[in-house]
Amino acid sequence: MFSKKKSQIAIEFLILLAMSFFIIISFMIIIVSISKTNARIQSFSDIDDLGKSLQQEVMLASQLEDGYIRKINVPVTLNGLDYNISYGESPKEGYIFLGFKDTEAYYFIPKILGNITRGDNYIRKNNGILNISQS
Amino acid sequence: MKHKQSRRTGQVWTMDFILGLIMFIFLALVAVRLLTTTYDSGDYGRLYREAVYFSDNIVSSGYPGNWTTGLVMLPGVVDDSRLNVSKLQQFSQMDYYATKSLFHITSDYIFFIQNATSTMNMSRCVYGYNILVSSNCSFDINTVSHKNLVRIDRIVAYNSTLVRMVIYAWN
Repeated sequence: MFSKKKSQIAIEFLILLAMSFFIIISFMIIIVSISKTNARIQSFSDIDDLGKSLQQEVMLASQLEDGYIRKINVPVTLNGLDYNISYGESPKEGYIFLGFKDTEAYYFIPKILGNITRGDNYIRKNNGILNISQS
Repeated sequence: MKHKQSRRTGQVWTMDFILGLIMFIFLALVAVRLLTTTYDSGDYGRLYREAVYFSDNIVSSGYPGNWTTGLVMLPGVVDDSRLNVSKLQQFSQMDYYATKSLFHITSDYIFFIQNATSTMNMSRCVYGYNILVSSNCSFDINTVSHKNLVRIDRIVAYNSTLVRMVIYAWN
């Protein structure tokens, strides 16, 4: 009788352990899901900030006089994460493309010569034409 | 002795366990609620930044300076601190979602021009999101469902007087 009760306690303990484990895992899944969403929003926010500031840089440069030159630094990573940046053209205007994982964003800018890359870029205006180069 | 053994086994399943479980679930719910609150404040920060960015750009000439609905990169309706009514009219002809895309904002927005006494009817009373507006240009911002709401006021000149451009953004 005593041995039977001992084994009963062991089974109860295991059941309780399993229940606790299940509850803790459930909450951990919720927490990981929330933090993943937050990280994704933060990454998009960083990409968006960079895109808007580059757009403003190029728009401002296009409205200034010939001889304008300015060094702009495009970060190599955003919060330690890799991303893609490139320049493209549609018939009417140019655009900066920014890509991060499954997120893509386009920012319209005036047409330029050259390309935008990560690191140091030099934006120049000569004869009314904007040029972006890395030296 | 037999009675004592029986009580010990029962303790695991009854009051101690139920109390412990309730306390654990309560604290876990508090933790999740705290996390959700943190997530919400991030949402508000983004909305505020978008509202400021939108107001900065709408109170500018836009790009190109002589933009039209056919060629526009960033719309703006103010030239040299003066409200440009023709640009305002062009803006009102643009698709609302196209303007959101040009500004790169995810929040919804409206803006309107106010003189000292009331909302002015330029090409229309309210620009942006399609909100229900009465014939005397009055409306209730609370008719749109929102979690967070931001209001930004900008002063611009119009016909030698100062008017207020009121911007509401929400998500």
